[in-house]
Amino acid sequence: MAIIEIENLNFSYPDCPPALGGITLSVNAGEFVVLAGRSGSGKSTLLSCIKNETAPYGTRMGSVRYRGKETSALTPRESAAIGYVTQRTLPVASTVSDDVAFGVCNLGLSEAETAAALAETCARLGLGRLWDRGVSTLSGGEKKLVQLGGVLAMRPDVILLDEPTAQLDPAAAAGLIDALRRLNGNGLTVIMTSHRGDALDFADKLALLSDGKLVYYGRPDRAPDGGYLPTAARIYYAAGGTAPAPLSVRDFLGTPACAAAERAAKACAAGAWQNAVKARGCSIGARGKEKPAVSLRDVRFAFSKTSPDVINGATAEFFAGGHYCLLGAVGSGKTTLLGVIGGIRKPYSGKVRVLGKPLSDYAGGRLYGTVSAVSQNPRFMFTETTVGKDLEASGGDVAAAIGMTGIEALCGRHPYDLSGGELQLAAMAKALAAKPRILLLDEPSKGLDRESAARVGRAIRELTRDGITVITATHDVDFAADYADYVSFVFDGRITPPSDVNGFFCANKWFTTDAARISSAAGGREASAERLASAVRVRAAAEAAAAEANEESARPIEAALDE
Amino acid sequence: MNTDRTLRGYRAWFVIAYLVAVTGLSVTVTRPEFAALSLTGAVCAGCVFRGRKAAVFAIAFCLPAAVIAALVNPMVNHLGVTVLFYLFSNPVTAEAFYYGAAAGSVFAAVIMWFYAFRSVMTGENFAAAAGRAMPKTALTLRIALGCEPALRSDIREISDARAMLGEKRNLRHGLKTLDAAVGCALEDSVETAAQLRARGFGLRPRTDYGAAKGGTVFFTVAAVAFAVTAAARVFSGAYFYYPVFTMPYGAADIVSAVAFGALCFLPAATGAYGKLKWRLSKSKI
Repeated sequence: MAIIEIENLNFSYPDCPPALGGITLSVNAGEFVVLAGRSGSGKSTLLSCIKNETAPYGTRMGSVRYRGKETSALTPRESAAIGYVTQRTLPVASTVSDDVAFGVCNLGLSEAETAAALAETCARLGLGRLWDRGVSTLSGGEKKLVQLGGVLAMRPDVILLDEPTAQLDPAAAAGLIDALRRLNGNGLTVIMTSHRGDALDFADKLALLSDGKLVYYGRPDRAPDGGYLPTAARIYYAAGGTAPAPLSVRDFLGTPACAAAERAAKACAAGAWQNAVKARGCSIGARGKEKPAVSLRDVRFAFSKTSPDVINGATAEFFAGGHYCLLGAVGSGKTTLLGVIGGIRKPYSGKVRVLGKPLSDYAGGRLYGTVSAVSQNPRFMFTETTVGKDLEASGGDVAAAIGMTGIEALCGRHPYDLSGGELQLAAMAKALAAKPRILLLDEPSKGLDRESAARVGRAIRELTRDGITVITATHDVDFAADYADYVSFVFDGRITPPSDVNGFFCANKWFTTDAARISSAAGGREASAERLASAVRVRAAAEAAAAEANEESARPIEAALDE
Repeated sequence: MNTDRTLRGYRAWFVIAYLVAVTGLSVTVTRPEFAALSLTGAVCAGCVFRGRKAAVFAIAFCLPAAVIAALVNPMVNHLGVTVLFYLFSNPVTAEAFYYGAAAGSVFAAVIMWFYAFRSVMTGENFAAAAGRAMPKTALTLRIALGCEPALRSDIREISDARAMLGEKRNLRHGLKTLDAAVGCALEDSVETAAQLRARGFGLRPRTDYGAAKGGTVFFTVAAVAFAVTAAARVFSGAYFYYPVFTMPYGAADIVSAVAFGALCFLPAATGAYGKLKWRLSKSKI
């Protein structure tokens, strides 16, 4: 029975080309539907059109029905059966209990019913331990859970989620998807947008949007190949497999149809990566005599005399022209470490040297010309009304910075109007204006889809080619595997020694990329999904050509044998 | 530091009504015993609700305020019969001192009442009190109060980000940081509004979940005391500070003073009783 029916929906924002063109789809009760597509393809617009209260202002044609009734004709109380979780977690109250209770109190139920709704939501999502806390003291994952609780307490039939895992680290994202899966198992219809392929391994339907049009709507394992599919499916298609594709590593390794892909994966040895690195002139071996660009020796840092050490004897060396990724869980101290290198957090013990000189030599703002940083929220770095004006205001070699990041087209726009990837590049340009030798990035790929993350990654690669050292703190293993040269773990206040990307990821069993899992299972060593997919494609094409050639040469022999 | 447990459980309107009643009476009836009772009651309530800090506040602020008013009034007000001495050819009279002392005490008392009740009447209580009648005002209050911690952490992050871009942490840096923080908050407000609408904001009637509901006894006693005081004042005689200090202490005056005393010490007594009960119960663990 269809719970949401969308028929020929067309929508355009005022004075803009159409955002949605002729979308028709229907969702049955109890289904789990994922909306995928590039950023700007209309996923969020479509999602917000389903609920009347969140529908954007513009010209709309077509119908959206909930249980047969037009959503615009629903009373507010009936419309409460469609829950909406926005992308940014913005709290509506200062304590968790008030935030979760806000929505359900608006429904005007009796106190007993309200208490029951809150109790069951709290129990289901495990919010009990957070109940009396202030919202501003929570981590990102906890805030998202509280937001979900606030919507679920209203007991909706359908829940719409806009990029729920975009701002979360992998552990919190997995927890949230797991919670949604269990709720869906209890009968809640879930419609969520995702650009990272979350939840595709158990979703019922995948809706693919491109430029506002519905390109595909059906089972995820039969969807056409694209950047939104999980790594397992991409490798499978690269090896020449046909639908249905495996959507998780477990499915990939289990099925016999993946044998072809496994053979190709086996071919990816570490040598290919090392050749690429040598070509860039920064191999691991020849580091003996060169001085590191940044070196940390037994650095210790705590926020106050009584709080525990956040950085507890960190020792590491970062050489020029390399892209170093610091991986670690939430709260492991990655951002603090960047703060130490950037000079705003003074360690109480240990030595920090930048370009051979101790940090004290750079006192009085001179560090800026050498070390520059982009914060976790790039929006915070802008105060002027256009990107161009802001870059001029910060001074330095603005033209070169714009050239390095490729943001000429964005200079006339307001910083808050930019998409995630554009904003990250603009912030990097602002940091690069002073021509630093070392650039520090905090979570550059947070909330970005694959294409935007690729743009940022390619920009970083250009920078390292010019000899700039880039140190990135991130929890995005795919980004690190695709674009880093060296990776370290930040754990227990220390940094593990930087090791090469493939070695690091293929040695790890839990904190690693799907590509590494697939290639290690096949005996190879390739952690980057991009590189593995292209290598598999090349190998599969070579095998296919060889097979054809064999057939050609076998035919005359068979003909001779037949006679 | 908030040490009150009892009055926080009282219905917000009861507490607001009490505060209005006691401060209203203090201000309109400027008799010396009313001023003294109000001030003492407020200080006691402060100590019960907010601990030792209240006593410090009382001595550091209220006492000087009363003393200063007592000293300044004779300088500017020269009515009164009993002349003490002449200052710059102006008579300084005893009546002016008395009135100054009384008015100063009333001023200090009102400040003290609000200080004491600050911990009982939190912003959330106000929002809950307004909740059913004025949901939009209540929500604005709630969101505004919630802004403060969020804004504070944002400001810290922005300041760090700009410092890493080479800005010294001076006044200009502070203003730019505030600019960025407010800009982001405004930008977020649109999405917050969408979220509020999606959660049914504006629907009436609204459930009053978790709002404090107690305090009926407190309110009844306070109402009776207030009524007795007001009635007794109506029936009592007029009193004057100028030109002759006449304070009649007839039956009605004594009744009103006693009733007002009861009104003033009611919150301190209730709070102390509640604390004692709680401590006794906990000692049984």
